Amino acid sequence: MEDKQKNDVILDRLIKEYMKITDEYGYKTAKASFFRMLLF
Amino acid sequence: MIDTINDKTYEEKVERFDTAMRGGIPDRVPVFGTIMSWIYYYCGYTENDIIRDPMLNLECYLKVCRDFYFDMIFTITPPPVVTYKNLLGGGAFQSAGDTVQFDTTKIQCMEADEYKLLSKDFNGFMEKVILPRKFALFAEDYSEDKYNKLIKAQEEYNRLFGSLGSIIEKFTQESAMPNFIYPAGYWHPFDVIMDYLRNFDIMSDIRRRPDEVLEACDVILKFIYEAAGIEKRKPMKAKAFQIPMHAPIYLKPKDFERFYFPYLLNMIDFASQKGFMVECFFEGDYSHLYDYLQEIPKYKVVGMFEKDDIRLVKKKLGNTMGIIGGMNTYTLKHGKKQECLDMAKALIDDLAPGGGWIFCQDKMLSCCGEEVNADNFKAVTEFVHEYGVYK
Repeated sequence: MEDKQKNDVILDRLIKEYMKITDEYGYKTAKASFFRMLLF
Repeated sequence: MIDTINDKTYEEKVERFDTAMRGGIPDRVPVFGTIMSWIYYYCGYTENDIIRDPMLNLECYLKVCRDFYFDMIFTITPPPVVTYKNLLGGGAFQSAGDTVQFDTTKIQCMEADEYKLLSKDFNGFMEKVILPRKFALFAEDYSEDKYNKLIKAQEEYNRLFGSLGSIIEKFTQESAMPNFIYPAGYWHPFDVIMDYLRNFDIMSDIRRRPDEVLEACDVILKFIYEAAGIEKRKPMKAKAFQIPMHAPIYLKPKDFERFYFPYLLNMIDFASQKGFMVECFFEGDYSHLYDYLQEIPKYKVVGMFEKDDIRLVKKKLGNTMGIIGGMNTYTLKHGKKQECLDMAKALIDDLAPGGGWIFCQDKMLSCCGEEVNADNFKAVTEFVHEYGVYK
């Protein structure tokens, strides 16, 4: 697997970890919420 | 679930607040406690103590709501997640002694010529450009070590926030105290650019590349709607999405009209169409913009005011939105108790008639415990509850 793909896998894993403690509004919303949290 | 004993108290408070925020006349003037990090210091802790043991949050909120009269508190949240951002190697929040400070020099992470890149693919821009600039760990090439550090950081975030749901549930059961804000980060796109990407350089961007700024705002608006999950939530009484408004006090009215107001109206409309109220937090002085604010659809918004003349606000905007605010925080800190009580009485006498007003101090108590004198604050909140009865 190329490093870019590995980074994508990491991001996916982080978002799924994040979803464990956020409201369950689905992956797309969780991804946006995750990015917003990192903006702050 | 809320226990039977306190059920009535909880419902009364919700009804009282909900009526006033929609411009109506409740049974009493609601007392709103915008209490944040101040509570930790009042209870003998620091923000860092809460970061170390998030369950202390419950103890602090319960104590403060036993000691002071409130009909509603703003929200329940841990302090900024500084330990998490430290593990990522960046971010604007920094520990400073016992407190957590926001370092504005860390905001600037986007160049002026990158608006088109942002607008083309916001998620990709975040992932490939912004996150590596904000956090050293995201900038590293892939390695197993990077992977492990990122997972460890996320586990720290989950440690801080994982207990929040149970804290809120226990708090509500034991205190019968409602809390106001949907935890949703309903941020205005112009403020997103100013607060987190371009800092005050956005003020020159609106002169040099106005169309690019507007295009970026369009894209960020959609991102904020998705992140807030509005379409998947259910409206509740006496709750609102908060828009913390920062940029308008630096904008000329004509710039506000072009770059800020259309998005603000869109956000209010988007929420209200789904049955949600919006709380606009008018941070600073908005007196140069009242003519615009009068165009906001009636009672879809409750406005929390900081530096405006609250009596003038009620006169100019009381037919448009519920009004929150009035009590001078400086007086609560430095005034004598009688001076504070006189100020609260005058506010009730002037602002309560006709309803649509919620008593609150004019600053959020979000610092290190020095913002108000606790004895004054206690006396005032109790006085307003007792004196502010509609007959």
